[in-house]
Amino acid sequence: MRPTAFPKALARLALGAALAGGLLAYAVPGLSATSVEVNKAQNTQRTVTSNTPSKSEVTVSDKMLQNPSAHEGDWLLDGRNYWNQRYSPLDQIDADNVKQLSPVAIVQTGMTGSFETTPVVVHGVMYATTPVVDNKMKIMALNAATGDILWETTYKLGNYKICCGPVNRGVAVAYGNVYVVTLDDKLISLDASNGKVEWEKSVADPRAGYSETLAPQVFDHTVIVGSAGGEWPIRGFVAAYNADSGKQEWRWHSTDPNSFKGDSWKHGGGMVWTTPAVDPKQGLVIFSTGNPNPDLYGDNRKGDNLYTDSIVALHIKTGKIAWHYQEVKHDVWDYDAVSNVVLFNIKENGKTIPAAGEAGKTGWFYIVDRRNGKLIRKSEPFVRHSKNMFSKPTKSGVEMLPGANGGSEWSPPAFSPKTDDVYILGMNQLMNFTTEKPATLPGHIRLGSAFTNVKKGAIQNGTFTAVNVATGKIDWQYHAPQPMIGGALATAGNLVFTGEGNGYFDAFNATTGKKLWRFNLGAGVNAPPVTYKVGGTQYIAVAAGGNFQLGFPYGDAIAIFKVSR
Amino acid sequence: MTSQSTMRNAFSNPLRRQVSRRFLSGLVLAAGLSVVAPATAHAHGDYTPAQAKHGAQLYSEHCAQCHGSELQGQTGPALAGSDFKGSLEYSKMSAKQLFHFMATQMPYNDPGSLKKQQYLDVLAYILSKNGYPAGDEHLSESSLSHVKLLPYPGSSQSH
Repeated sequence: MRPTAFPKALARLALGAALAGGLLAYAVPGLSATSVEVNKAQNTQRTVTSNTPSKSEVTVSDKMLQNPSAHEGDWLLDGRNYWNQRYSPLDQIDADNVKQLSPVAIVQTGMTGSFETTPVVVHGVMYATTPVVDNKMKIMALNAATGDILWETTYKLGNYKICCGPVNRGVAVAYGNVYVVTLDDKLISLDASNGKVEWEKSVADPRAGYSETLAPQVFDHTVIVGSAGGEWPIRGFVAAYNADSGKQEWRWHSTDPNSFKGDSWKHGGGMVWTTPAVDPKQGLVIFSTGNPNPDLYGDNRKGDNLYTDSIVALHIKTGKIAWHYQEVKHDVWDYDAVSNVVLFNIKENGKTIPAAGEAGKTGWFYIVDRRNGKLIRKSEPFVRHSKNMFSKPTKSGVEMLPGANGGSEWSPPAFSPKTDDVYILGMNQLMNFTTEKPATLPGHIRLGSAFTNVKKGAIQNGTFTAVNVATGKIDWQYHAPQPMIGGALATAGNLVFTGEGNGYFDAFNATTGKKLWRFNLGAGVNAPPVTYKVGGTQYIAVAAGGNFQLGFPYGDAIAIFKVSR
Repeated sequence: MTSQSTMRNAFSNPLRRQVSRRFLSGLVLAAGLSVVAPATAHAHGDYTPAQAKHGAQLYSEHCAQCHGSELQGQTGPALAGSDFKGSLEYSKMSAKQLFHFMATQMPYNDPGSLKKQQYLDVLAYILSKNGYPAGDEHLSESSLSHVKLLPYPGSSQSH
């Protein structure tokens, strides 16, 4: 598809429709091809240009989603494919020409803040979300080759509670719609061609501490979401909604009453922070679960606290549990499983075994058999472990590595079938863990004391590690001056991309780890990169807006690169 | 999963004294008595204006970056206005609990780094920005238990 010439949908049409809908509409002075529509009932404002795509151009079917190899130029799902591999078969950009990678556009979204979006790209249209600033966020459609804005819908949020920055990790695009979830726990369906809100549903109660930060998953006409909020006295869940009506189809709760003392399971945490992987063949949705709550005080929740800190597989049609693997039993360090589960196959004794892996906050990459959840192997640690790791926090404090951010935080890793390596962002943060019996108040954060960066003799740095899934050994490791958070991209051009808190966007040789290229985007590059093709040219895109959790400098941009010739 | 230390959330604070005063004066008026106007203004607040002023300065140095210069909330929750009121009413947090939370878990990037008196001053500032009345007594650790956060000042009960 041609990026420059989206037919259809003239501003006048949009305007007419808006007026017909009884909405306030007016042309933006000086931009005659742009119209703005305010919908007070929906708390939205929509800006549409004359270049919006046609519905058919941006309608993604289940068939397309299940056959990504037929759509090599697109980035159709959050993890590119259902296996969350973040691996693209595009190889136009490679180790030889990556040095000529140059910016095509720096799209300033106007929303400066902790920026974690993964753009989704459909036929040359890029869909992205922004962080929440002044209680507003944007869902945007851009021309993926030029950065021109095609439409943007601004949603005004109600009250919400968050631990780790006002973030949103992106959209799901399917069936002609864009699906997004918000910090105030709304699932919103928008028309993918023009950003018009079709419906919204509440998925949880934001007053209690639930917040939605992940990109939804879509499969077989359902939209699947989890929830953030592990620092509040609430109970995690994964829920599936009908993609057309928004009606809930099932909901699985992540705490097992048999695994918690008394009724502590009711507020036992186990949030699902990141987009699940899907195994379409087995009909499983597979994800990681967060810490039990309170994070640092376990005496009132004795037991293993299943299914917290686990890799969990549910039957995707029913939401019933198929298997689990718990990484940390009865966690009192916030050593949870947060980053996206990645699926791949491994060879063991000549046999191909379907596997699932998760880069834990503990600093190991766990590989399990995805037919039954049995541990196949734990990798070598990809961050430093202090000797006293897993010491119980005390009132006066215990200093340990990894810190409470990990290991690996939410950052999605990438997997290359060419190298058999999974590329993991990690951090070394020496933290002091204290414990204290907390009060339980509805809607009030409940950590059970605090984890704080050690100041004297501080350790604060990052790692980017290629872990071989066949052996669990580290093939190479890059050391960054700051903790790493954001995400990775692997390509058939034998490259891996990731960003750093100091503003650098880096490309490495996927096999050797040699740094081949970097570009300073002026704000922390703490979001996952993507790649796609438009009109025969391969592009790389990444958001650069810094990170709240680690204090990396803010910006508001989505950068698009290509090789200059 | 989390971050460094603590997080956005919502806490609380109002003073009941004010309310009981309001309630009393209501009764008095209802009874048609012309009375000794309850000995008011200064005597019944839980912090001093000077304390709140000092708290404002500390707030701008240590808190405003996340909670907003007007306490309106940014990456941290609102500490004034209807969002704050809603959080107080939902959690029913006491002033003592709020203080304890602040003193052990704030500021976000350096919990517990202020002196106790400084936390009290910041709390006094938060109270002042939410319409809780000032008086001549300093807000102290021992006076915290007298501070009633609910009902939120100015919220309804003007029967």
